[in-house]
Amino acid sequence: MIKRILLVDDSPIIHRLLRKTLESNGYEVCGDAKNGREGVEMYKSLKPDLVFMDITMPIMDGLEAAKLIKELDPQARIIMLSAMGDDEIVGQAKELGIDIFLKKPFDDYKIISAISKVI
Amino acid sequence: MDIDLYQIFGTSTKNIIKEMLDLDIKGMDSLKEEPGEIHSMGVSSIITFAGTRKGRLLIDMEPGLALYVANTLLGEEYDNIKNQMVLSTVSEINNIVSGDAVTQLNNSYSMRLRLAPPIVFTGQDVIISIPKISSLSSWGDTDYGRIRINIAWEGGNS
Repeated sequence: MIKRILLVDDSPIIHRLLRKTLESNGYEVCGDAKNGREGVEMYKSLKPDLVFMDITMPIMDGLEAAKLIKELDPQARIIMLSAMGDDEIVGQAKELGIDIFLKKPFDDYKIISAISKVI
Repeated sequence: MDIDLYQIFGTSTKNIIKEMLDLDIKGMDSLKEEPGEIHSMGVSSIITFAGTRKGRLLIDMEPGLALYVANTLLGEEYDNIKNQMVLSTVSEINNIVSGDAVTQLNNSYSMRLRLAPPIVFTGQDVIISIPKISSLSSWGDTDYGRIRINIAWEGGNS
């Protein structure tokens, strides 16, 4: 069964690059959210197998969105993909139960390796 | 510490452009004070950050370089710097450069900086006026055009 992945990032470039990587490796991108709030709403309706979540976004940031998703579904699988990656942010993500924290930029290997560890 | 607050952005710019595009930036080794007005070379993106101090990074590219960056990253053939995907690409480059530099500053100096989403605009010789904050610029050259970074911190350069 094809794994369904939700992308949450305010950059259309990241959506396009991730979609290309994921679809060429047999995954389905089931939704594209532009901020954390959209990400939470789409998680509720789409029930994806995995979420790729940016941190710096307008309206609601990725850490807040991940916290809300984890409250809705403690089993939610989330990979953080952010330009930021300092010790404090990585620590906050760990406390939320984030599966993997990846720092941008990324390549196909980095993305696919991370997914294979999570789902 | 203070010179690190500026130089680290030049290092991050060179490293990120090399990693994402396999493109070398020549120069970008020295910093020069800018007056209150900056004349855009083509496509400019600004990101602000705030923590124990406030600052911002402006990345400015000549049109040829902005198009090369977008076309190489996305595998497309854009020919207009006003295309939304070209502008978004320059924004994302700024986001990744700023994130890399700010991450290092936070880990080294506990500055607790957080980024705001980037803004981007286009137009050659557009004047970017940022009064009251002195800033330092650094220029680099690539095979596809010039790039400038401009860094400002509230509280000045010293």
